[in-house]
Amino acid sequence: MILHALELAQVGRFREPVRLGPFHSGLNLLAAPNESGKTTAVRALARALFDRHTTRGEELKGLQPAGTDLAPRVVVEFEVARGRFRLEKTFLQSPRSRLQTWQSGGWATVAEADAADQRVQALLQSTLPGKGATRPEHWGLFGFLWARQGELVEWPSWDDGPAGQSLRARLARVELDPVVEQIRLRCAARAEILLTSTGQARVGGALRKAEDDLAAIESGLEAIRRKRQEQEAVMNQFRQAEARVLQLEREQSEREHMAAVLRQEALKTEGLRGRLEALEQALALAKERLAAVGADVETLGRWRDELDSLRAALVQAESAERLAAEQRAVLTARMEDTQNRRRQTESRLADLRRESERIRALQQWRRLTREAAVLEQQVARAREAAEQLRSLESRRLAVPQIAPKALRELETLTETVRSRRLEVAALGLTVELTPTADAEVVIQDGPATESVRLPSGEVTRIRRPHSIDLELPGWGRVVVRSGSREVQNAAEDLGSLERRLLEMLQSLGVADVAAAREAVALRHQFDVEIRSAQATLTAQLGDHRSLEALQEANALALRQREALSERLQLTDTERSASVTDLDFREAQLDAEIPAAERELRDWDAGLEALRQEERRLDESWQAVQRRMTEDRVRMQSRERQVSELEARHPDGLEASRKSAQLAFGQAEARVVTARAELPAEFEKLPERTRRAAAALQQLNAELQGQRALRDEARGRLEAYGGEGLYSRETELEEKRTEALLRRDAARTEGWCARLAHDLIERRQRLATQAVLDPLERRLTAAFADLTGDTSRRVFLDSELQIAGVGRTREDSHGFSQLSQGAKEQLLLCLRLAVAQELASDEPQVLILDDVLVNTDPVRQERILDVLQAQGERLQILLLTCHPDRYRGVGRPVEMDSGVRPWA
Amino acid sequence: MDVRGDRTPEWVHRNVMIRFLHSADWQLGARFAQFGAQGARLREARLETLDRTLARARELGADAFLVAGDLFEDNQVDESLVRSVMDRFRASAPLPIYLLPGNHDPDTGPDSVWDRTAVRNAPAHVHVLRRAGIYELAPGVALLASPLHQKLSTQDPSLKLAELSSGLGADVLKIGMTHGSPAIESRHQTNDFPIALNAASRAGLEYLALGHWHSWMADLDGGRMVMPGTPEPDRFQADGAGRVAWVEVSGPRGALRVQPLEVATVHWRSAEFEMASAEASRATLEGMISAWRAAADRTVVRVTLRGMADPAELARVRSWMDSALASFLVGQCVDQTRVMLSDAERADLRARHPILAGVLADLDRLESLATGTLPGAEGRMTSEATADAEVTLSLVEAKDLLAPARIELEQLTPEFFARIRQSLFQTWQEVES
Repeated sequence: MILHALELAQVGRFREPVRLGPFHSGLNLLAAPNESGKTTAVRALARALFDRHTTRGEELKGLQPAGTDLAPRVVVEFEVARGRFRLEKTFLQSPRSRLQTWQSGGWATVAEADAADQRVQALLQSTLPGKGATRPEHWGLFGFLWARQGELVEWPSWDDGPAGQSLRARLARVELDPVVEQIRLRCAARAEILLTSTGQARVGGALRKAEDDLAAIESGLEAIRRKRQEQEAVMNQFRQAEARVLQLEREQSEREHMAAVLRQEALKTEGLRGRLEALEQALALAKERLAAVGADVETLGRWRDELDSLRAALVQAESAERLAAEQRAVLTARMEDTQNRRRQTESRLADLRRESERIRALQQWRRLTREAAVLEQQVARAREAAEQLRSLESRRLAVPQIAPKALRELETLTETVRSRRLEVAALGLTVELTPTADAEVVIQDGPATESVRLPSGEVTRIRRPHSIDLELPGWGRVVVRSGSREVQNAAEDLGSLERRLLEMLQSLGVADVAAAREAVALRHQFDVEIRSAQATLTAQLGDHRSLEALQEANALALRQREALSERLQLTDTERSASVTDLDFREAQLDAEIPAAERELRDWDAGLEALRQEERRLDESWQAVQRRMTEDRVRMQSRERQVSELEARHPDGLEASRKSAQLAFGQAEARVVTARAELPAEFEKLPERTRRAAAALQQLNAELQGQRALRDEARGRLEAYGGEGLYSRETELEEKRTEALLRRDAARTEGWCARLAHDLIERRQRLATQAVLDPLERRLTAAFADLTGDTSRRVFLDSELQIAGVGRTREDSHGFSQLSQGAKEQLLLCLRLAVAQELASDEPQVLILDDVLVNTDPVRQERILDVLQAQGERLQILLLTCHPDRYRGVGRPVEMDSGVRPWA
Repeated sequence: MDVRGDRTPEWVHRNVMIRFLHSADWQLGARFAQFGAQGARLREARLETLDRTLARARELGADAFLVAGDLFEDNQVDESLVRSVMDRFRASAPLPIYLLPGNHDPDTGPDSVWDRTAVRNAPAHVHVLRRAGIYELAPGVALLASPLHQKLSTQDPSLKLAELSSGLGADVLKIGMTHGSPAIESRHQTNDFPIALNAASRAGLEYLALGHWHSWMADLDGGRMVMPGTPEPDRFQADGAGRVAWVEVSGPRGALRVQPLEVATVHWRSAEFEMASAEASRATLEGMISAWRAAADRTVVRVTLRGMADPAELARVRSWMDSALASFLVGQCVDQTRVMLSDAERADLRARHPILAGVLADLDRLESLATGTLPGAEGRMTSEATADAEVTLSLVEAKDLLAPARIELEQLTPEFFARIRQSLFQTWQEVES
């Protein structure tokens, strides 16, 4: 479709009729400021072409002039492949619609009202919504060719409506075979009945039901298999029990026979054993009698021996008693002698000890006397040394104490003052006075004065640092002052130094530096002498701290000596005894005293031994006494028993013993005879019989148990047999076959439908992909024309969506990542491609309503080049509020406001 | 009634004659899983056959009715079946009936079908030969039985017959009965109770009644060893099943006469339908079906469709087949056809519906990947137009394509591919119409 003219009345700001056009082939430019009604005009064009004339809605009301109820009226002259048409529409108030066609040089009405709307819809291949006004997706191809102002910059979704799909097919040259599509849809529907999208059986479907049936059947079969296994296990139990029962029955038979044999043998043995027991009792009695007689004989012999022993022992005891008495008397005499000799030794030892103590006291007295004399001499020498020390210290105190550091400072300061004086003298004033006659001059030097005689004719020089104040007798006072600052400073400095020197000498107590040096030397000499005196005193004091301590020690020694002398009451001989005598005697005593002590201990030991011997003799004697008493009692008792025993055997013991021996031999012979009649190992027969009975009892119990097991297994097997497992399994197997057939059939049908659908879809996708490349090339070329960038390509996906823009598909940027300008330009490329495609069938109009607002001037020029070139094949209506950007482009659209469209 | 002993029994007479009906392998309660619920009808048919055979024995004045093993399919058959069989035997009194445990119903102990109450309470004329022994079949006629006690064995059960026979006099007419495989080279398995091919003569038997194989066999050991086969066939192969043996023996070393009696209830019929000559095949099959239809409720029919088929023609044939087989006891149609398009049809398909042609090529490729084989050249859609590398399915692509539907490539069979092609063509035709 291309446009020829558009007339509007009572539309937006166009209250009065206005005609836009004629529109030419190629580029038409409608340039006008904002709010001048450009977009309103195009919107009215779309409403007229695509909405029913009876449509009421905000979109139509939006066409009314502001604040009025006027009926918008639109006339569109357009041309399609079928011819040129004129469409008149009035909306809202008295709506009407008329379609006319150009015939024979004039407009002939084709249809009116709804018929006119339907004819236009058919011509433009547009669609209608269920109710209300149309939206761009209903406008068919026009929706893609009209770039509306302010619309979102989005790549179209081709699946919105048949126009999109048709366009996609046309662009990609995809012939969407409707037959194949129908097959695909039917396959999808069939697959969906049976399978879910993930290939699982759909609930309620035949496949699911067959699978459920199969699962139930398998469960039943599994139960039968389990039961068969149980049956097999029970059968094994039965076989084992059966075999065991047979084995036990055989064993039972054998054991019963053995038990019968044992019983017979036991009965026979029982009689023999009764007789044997009676004989054994008789033998036991004879044995007891024989044993009793033998015991009496033995007892009597033992008792007689015992009596003999007792008598002998009594004689020995009496002898021992006498011997003990004799030994006791000898012992008593030895003890008395020993005690006497011990007493003598003890007395001598005491004397020796007393003498030894006195010798030691005398030695101490001697030592104290010697010590006191030594201390007395030591005190005298120490007292002399102390006196000399005090004298030296007193003399040293008279000498000023000047530290070496102070002396060095004093020497330095003295030298400084001397040099400074020389310096001041060199800098200061010098007055040379040469009187003609002897004279005297008084020099005023501060508060001090100095009178100087001036010999006649001689030059007397008076030097001062900076001023000289002279009183010249007879002449008056002469004051000479130096104006030099340096001299003044030096003089002041010298004064300060001199004051410091004076203060220092005063503090040290010396007149000058020489006196100071002499004091230091003298003091050093005193120090040496004092140290010598101190050493002498220390040597005399010895271990004592001071002279007083030494004197105290001397006094103590004297007091101790006097005290000891008084205590000992020394005789003259003792006083005169030499130390050697004392030491000799002490040595003697040191040997005699231990000897006396050892002797005393020997006496004590001898005495103790004698006492022990005395105790032993006493105990021995008492023991002899006790034993004699006991022996006498026992002897009397035993003599009584012997008499009684002899009384029990009136014929004598020997006769009694022979009689008992004979009776025992006869009984023993009878027992041996009876025992020989018993069977071998007859004593084991009872145990064997008991064991055989117990074994038989155990065997019977086990046999009973095994029979019970066998019978139970048999019962269970019969019950299993009665269940008819094979028949039940057969029934399930047959049902399983049916279910399998149903499942396989349903699954095959489902898979067939699903696979056929998926293969068709794949082939459709492949067909689409096969034609993507030409479209990509077309878009890439248009995009390169617009942007001037030939290095980038436009890539599409199988859904004809922008996969990206870039050098390669992998490195490309998606549509959403592009700038607004690039998006606008890509969309323009797409619209151009669509328009070109459609133009191959019939001329097409492309409306661009101020859509390139984000484009820079360079690209703007390129776009205009492209549009200019496309204008040779397309009708392009360019709406803009920037006439300056499009100056010289295309042909301007005329707006004639004097028309009367309904005339 | 074991009559073994050191002396010749009183009932031994010379010049006796006996006539009996020898059957085996009734396999009552057998499973027909391949027919689903119709299996019950086939089992029922075996009981009908038993009734008919017992009645025939009475009609013929048989001295005995022998079952040489496998009366039952399994020891664990349903109790009601056992009772039902015993009731039938009870109704056949006084016909003496001798039942030998076979390898399907061996006498294994209390779990054996022979220990069921119904069998233990069987009437006196029904003899279950649970122990190897000699039984009086008729005056002067000894029945030497060697039953089976397990399902498999390498032992020849007829050896026991020779042992039993050695205790009998030469003037006793000896009939043997056991169950096993005649030891024919390459036709038997060593653990399947091999029976010496001279078992009858070795034991001095006039007749050895065998059971085990389901086909009629009467030429063993000079005709003295007879395998009557199953009285009721259980497969489509025509192998002489459906018979029992009518046996007449005249005294020791006398005349032996064995006749097969047809007793089967159900007929097993199979046919093939070649799509290449559909019209002729249909005419032939119609004739067969009309012949079988008289006994439709006792006939199992299986028709196998073969050859390359035009989708529309195949649909028509299948539709006709479904209705034609509906009246039979079991009517099976096994479709082994493949879809076939003519060159013109293939070209037309590629021109008009290239995507569909591509899908069919994809199916060819999938089939080769799944089965390792390619359909016949005449059915292939792979062409120069669709075989380029870019669109040809690789193994990875094929698996990726199948994965979302949870289909494993290995699960897809040639039958599946035949089915999906048919389904596609059928849908195509529906859409086109």
